Amino acid sequence: MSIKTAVVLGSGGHTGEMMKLLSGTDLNLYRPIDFIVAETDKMSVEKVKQLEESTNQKLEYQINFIKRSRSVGQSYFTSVYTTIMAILYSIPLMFKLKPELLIVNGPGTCIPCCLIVFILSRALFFIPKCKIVYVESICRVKKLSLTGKILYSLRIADSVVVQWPELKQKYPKSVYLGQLV
Amino acid sequence: MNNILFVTVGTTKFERLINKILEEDILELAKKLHFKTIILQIGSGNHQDQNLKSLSDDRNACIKFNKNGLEIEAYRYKSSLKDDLLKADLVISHAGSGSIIESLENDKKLLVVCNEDLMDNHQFELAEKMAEMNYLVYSTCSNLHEKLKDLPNQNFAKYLPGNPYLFGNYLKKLISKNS
Repeated sequence: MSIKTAVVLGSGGHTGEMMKLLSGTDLNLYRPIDFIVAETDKMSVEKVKQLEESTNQKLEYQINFIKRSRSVGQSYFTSVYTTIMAILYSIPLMFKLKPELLIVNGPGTCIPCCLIVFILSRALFFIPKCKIVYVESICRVKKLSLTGKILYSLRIADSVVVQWPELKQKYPKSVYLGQLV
Repeated sequence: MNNILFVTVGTTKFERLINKILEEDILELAKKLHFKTIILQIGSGNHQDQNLKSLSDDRNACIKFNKNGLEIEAYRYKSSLKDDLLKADLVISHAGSGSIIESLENDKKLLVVCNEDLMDNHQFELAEKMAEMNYLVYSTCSNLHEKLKDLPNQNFAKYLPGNPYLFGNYLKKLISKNS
């Protein structure tokens, strides 16, 4: 039995961590996988190919491109505009993909996807129920990232996985499994 | 011992670190610490050093020059930094988690330099935590010299890598639950 999965690759370190997380999963269970990548991010596409080679598992995947919602160093003000654009671009995409499982690990690019999947599947019932799993980056030791806080406090994510016990203490509904990456 | 120091800024722009490394006092200290070669992965940006100015924006461009008796090899990016990482006796890295973890997984001595100019300074958190666990030493550009000088007296703890299978098992349980 397999589950239709979507994975947002957030570029740079986020993609790196996601690839490690996926390398620990039985990829036969998650097919097809739709990767969602910012259109400027060529490195993530490479990483998907490397994942296939390194795990020796044949993936059934597709790569979907979206607008980037915030680059490192971009101001919060222009972020608002680019985030709105990213949301508009993500609606038809998530409607088309109809994932049953959505795995994300930041940065902000993943919020529009989560929000849309959440609304489409929980409020409007336009698409089947989808589980949303957010894994906080290993970088976050004391505080969740803004993305993590939003997904945790609005309960958009079914599961917020953290990698340090300090975070589990501070956010009791999060899940601590140990260091994952 | 290859006497190689590897400096990496990843895909970020961290001109200050590269400029700092090529300052006289750091180079002299590097020699005192028995380094003969410095490999610089400099990323984007305009750097002070004249030699680096001649490095084109081409991703594969690479230059070699001598400075203060040290052999310097510089490039902007490489598709994989693994070879340079493996050769190095010491890695000086930006605070990106990928770079930190890859260095530690390869049992490298690691000094992490936090970029104080970034909007969101959460990267101190990981470096600080891992320094607390004695996996690495961390500094800023301003106290790099001091931390580097003190490095031979540091006791590094054996790094225990993360386990992604814990996530795999968890995810499998999660999807088999019907709620």
